[in-house]
Amino acid sequence: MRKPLILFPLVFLFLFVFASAQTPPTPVDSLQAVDTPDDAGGQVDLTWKPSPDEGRAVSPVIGYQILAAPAADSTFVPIGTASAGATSVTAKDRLENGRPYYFKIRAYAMDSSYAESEVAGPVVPKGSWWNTKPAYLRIVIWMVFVVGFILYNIRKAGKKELYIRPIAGIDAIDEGIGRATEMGRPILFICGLGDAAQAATLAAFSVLGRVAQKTAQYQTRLIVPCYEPIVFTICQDIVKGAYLNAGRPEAYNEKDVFFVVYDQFPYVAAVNGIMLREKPATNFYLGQFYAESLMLAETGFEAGSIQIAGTDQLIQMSFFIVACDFTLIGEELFAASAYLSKEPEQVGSIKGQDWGKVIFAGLSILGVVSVLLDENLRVHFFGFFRKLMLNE
Amino acid sequence: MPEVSYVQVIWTTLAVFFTLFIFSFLYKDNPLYKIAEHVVVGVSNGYWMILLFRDTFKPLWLDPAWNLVSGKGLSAELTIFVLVNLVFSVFMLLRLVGGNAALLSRWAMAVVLGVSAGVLIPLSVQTYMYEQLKGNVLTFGAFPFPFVSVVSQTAFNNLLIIVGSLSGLAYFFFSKEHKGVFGGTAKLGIWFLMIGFGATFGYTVMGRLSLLIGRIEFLRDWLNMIF
Repeated sequence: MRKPLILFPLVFLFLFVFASAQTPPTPVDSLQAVDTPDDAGGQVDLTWKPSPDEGRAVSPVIGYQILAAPAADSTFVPIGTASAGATSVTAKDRLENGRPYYFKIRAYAMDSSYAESEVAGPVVPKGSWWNTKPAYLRIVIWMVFVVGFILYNIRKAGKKELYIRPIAGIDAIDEGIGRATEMGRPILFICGLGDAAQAATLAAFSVLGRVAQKTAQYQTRLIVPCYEPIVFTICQDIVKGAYLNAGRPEAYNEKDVFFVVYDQFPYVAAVNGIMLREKPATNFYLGQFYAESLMLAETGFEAGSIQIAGTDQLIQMSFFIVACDFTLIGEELFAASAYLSKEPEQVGSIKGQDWGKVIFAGLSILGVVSVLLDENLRVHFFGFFRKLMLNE
Repeated sequence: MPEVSYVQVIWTTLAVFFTLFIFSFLYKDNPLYKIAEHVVVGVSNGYWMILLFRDTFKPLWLDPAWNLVSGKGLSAELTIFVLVNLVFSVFMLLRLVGGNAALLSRWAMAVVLGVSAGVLIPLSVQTYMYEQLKGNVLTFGAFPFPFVSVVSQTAFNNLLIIVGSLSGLAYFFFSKEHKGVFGGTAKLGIWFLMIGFGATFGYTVMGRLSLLIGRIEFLRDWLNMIF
């Protein structure tokens, strides 16, 4: 009679251990790994069928860990995660182009138990030369149109002089140079903080060439403190060339075109010091500017300089408008560069962009009309246009 | 008040002095400002030199070049990359030699400019043209017909966006003089721009004030630390 009483706690103990034991989930199935198309490389797309234990009552699957290894039999290391319910992920960490990788997915259950999938691979991540996504094809079509307009107008500008309307601020450039000459004080020219490939910096180069040529003729000192190393070397070449063109190569002082520092606020500290010590009669701020714009312009104002600014940075324009005597707003800077240089490439570009603006305005109006008719009267006007514009 | 070490006090005090040196510029240029200016420019140049060497030059060129030289093996792609960069770097350094050799540096600059422009142009077309145009059209999705209605706030805002965009474009049209109806539209455009600039100015100045408050709080914390 005592046996059942002894067995009872043993059965209870067995049931307790059994109930609290970790039960590994079913692993994910059909794991596939392919190199991500249309990317710069270093990425692999993984897809799988989720673990059926995502929805189980006890200890469901709560997430997945992405594991990668350079060989199927080597140690797999975690390179990413995916939440429960996910059936795909793009692995992008720690993957190098040109090297083979093997992948596994580890399904984690709530009780910390896990199960690993079959190995997928090898996959060699590589970059694509072409992005074949439809959205990018639209960009290419846009570019073909715009570049086509520009090239056509450059050709036209080479044959005859094209009209560009007068821009307030351009005349001030010559006035500023004249003022410095009369006062016997230097001119300070700042090309901004952008790199040499920025449109605003390129426009600044063009104006710098013009200013340097005039300062060479009038024998006025031109100071060009530079922020970016490549911009610095280009500025040196431009100023040197301008002095040579003006027939005064001996007047060029290479110490006046110098590199300061490749750091925003130290650069401001240095240029502000130059302003108060050299007392330039005219300051040019042309190019890309950021938070330093107001600091520079305020100090220039304190130094009693006439100030001419131009930038395509929307937020900084307001500071220049407030603190400078003349401001070239956005595209006026590019137009000023073309207006001064009269080079067919620049004038043609401005003309081509004007054509682009007409097309832009026309498309805006057509788009608005088509959407209004479509949404309010159910008239599917310019359906193709809507699809083209809205990525539908 | 948490315990602070002497080292922490020394560095914070140094930072406080440099802050005050820079603030002294508000009065006028002076030797203290000059000290701060020269220190910050010197330290910054040194910092950036090390940073560019460690994060750019070493991993992107020196390490692959060492793998190539030491026979560890390098992919064909990276070998071309290392050699082309070596050639252009030498071209840039020839500026120090001067004369006709220095002209070779223009090839290196042409590559930098060309590649950067090639990357930037499609981005600009997408960001400044395509997405803007798409935004203009999408804005009108919830616009009630007829669109002269100003009952709805959204409708009025949408109308402002479209009129502002088109009149702003008229201002930046350089092939025609600003006269007559076109001149009036351009003038409306510049009004929109100026109102926008005013709002931006106010917003940014508020941001700058918060920076100033941060610096004053730093000075206050230093006083608390010392006394």
